[in-house]
Amino acid sequence: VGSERSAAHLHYLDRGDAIASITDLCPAADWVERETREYFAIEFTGRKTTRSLMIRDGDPIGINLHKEAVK
Amino acid sequence: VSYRIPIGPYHPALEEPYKLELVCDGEIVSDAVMHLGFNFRGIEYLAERRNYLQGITLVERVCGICSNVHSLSYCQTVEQLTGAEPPERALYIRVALCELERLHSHLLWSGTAAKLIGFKTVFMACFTLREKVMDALSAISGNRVNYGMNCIGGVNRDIADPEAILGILDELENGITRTILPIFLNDKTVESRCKGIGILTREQAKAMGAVGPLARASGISQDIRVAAPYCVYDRIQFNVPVETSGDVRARLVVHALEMVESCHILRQALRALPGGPIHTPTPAGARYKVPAGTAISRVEAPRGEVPYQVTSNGTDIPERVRVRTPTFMNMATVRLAVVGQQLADSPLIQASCDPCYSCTDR
Repeated sequence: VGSERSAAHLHYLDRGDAIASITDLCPAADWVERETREYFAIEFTGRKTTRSLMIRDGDPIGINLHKEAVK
Repeated sequence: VSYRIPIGPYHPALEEPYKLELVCDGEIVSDAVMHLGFNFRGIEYLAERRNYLQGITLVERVCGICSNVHSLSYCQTVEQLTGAEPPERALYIRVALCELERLHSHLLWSGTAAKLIGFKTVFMACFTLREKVMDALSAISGNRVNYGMNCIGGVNRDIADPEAILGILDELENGITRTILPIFLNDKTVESRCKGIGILTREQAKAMGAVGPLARASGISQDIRVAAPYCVYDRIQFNVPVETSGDVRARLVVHALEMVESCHILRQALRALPGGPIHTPTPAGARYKVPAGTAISRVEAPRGEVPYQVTSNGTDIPERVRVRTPTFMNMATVRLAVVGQQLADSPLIQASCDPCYSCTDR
């Protein structure tokens, strides 16, 4: 992957953003989406469940974000 | 009447913590819910706070079993960004280390699987052989785990005496082909305990993105060493064993055959070991600045593909380090494999995907 090429076509998501889930098309994305939500606080819309995978129920999401980003 | 059985986080069979809730109808499992994250150490977060040289030591601790592939994949991404070309000898030493690590990981898994099958003689045989691999690893690197071999632009230590390793290899191959492989292929105990158990079909494996020996036991011939060769795998002759039945027995056979192939690869790599330096000259001190950009590298770990993505912003500290471990993909398939199976078979089915939770949680 060339860095110039990828940078031109990527749209970066930020904490609290939402994006449509692809689990209906690709079941393998299930855990990836749950992990991304819990580590980086990005929501995936259109999922049947968003049961927590890596964190315990009730814990704040976004645990992998920089400290300065978590207020 | 259906009831839920919580297993873990302290697991009776495996060493690492994770929680599984099995929903059972009588003795038959009808659903499984998994909770992970008990081993979360924030490695990716920490890697964004360490410089590139400290990062090597850090990522090597993602996993206790396949530690070498993590530092290798990390170093390969940084080498792509900096343009450092490891010398030939270093590439061959990296291949040798990768295969020794695969041997020790597969022997560990075979032993654990044999123990869960209830065949402790095979467990003993596997661990006796594994000690020989550990001796070879500690002779090369000085360590039994976390070898600390990879550096940016080569390896830290030379294989001083390839002949000694070749000697250990002969004993190993003998043990694998004469003891472990025939037992996994022909033994009645293994067959009755593993045949038709925990079937993961090819379609399921593909849909869930399974990787490594688990995918190869379900008929998906996918191996990064062949598909996207790194180091010098393109110069080495070897087969990728594939089984189509997708049950626990297929996984045992794939692991055993892969160990034999690893011996072949090791022998070729050690015999062809070229002379010369083992790493490129590196700038002195910890201020190892890396040009801005993103690089991705893929390595075939014992459990499957390990991709690393490193994004640099031009300083000595990476902007982002992304680690995708094979168990993260493989563990999700357990839910499909245990449904409809006997409750008593579920520990074996869970273990048969060769789980590593410290990798999964990071």
